[in-house]
Amino acid sequence: MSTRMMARMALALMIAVGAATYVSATHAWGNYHWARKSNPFTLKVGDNLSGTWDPHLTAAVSDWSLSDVLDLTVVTGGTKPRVCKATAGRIEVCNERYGFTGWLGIAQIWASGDHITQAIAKMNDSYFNGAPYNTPAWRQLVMCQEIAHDFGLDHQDEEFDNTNLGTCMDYTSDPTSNQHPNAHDYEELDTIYSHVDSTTTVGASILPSKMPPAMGQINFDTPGQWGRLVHSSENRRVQVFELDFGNDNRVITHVFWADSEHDARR
Amino acid sequence: MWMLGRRDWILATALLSLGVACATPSAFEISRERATEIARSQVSFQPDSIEAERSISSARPVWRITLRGRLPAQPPGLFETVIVEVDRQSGAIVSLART
Repeated sequence: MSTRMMARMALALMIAVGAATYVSATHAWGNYHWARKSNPFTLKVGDNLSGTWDPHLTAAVSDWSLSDVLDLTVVTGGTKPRVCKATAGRIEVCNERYGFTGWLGIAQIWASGDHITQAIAKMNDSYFNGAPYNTPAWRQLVMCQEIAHDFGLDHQDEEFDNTNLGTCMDYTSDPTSNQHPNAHDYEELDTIYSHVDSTTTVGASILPSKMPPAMGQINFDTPGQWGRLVHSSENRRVQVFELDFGNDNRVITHVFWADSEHDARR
Repeated sequence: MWMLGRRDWILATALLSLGVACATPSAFEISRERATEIARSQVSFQPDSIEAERSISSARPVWRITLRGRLPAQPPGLFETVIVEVDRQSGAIVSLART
């Protein structure tokens, strides 16, 4: 084998290794993903945003819906922006002045094992209301990125002063060319969602915990809902009831009964 | 003057009891150190600060672990932040938040 041929083979090998490295490079957020039985799946995004942010949500939803596995649809928000409470089975997106917390945007997912059960994304107007972040480009980058965390994508790059990768999943000091996903983001989504699950968390209305749903539907007005009497004071004005849902899930009701005759005399 | 009726007392005490039951530390909860260890496994950066506090998330008692650090060339005033909520009884991760 000639030296030239060996050099060509070595170059080819290096290119092949480089290509393999790129293809296998992942930017998934752990193994977290929405459980679903088929692709593509449609995820609802609750809009709890002010008018300034609405175009950015629209653009981000449009961008990410280009994925082969995922469609996003904007629905009326289910929470107040200040608390930005999660809704089972979907994403809630909010903006508010959350204070100078050190973050422009934050995404939170609730998990059952590897399955995302609900998610929120918060945009921090404490920063976006002033320089240097009060620009459409910064808003678009952060909106695009935080929503993507909510379906399992992580950052592609976390260096601020290198060349932009052309994706909102790239940290940067200049958001101009990093406002939308790039091809590698869509490839990563294909990888994350290449399997299907036997259950679904998309659109689910169950409570995202071990707490039985019935525990959230108790009508405390009626003693019939309080379970068994486990304690009673001598005069029976103080009583304790226990309703057992199993697996250490219990609702304990302490009752201080009013003494209507005594109270009437006062 | 508004007087509390029997129904009001029942509702108030029931809700108070439920809240107390949720917030009371369990005898079987995992330690703060173990929860912090679980949370640290979820971050890729070197945290400068770690805070741990007892909290409630989706009606579950959790350790809420907040990890903050700075990345190279990160703009002034911004921090990499990850918040991990760990079930105080099972050690399972209940939620994660990241910037």
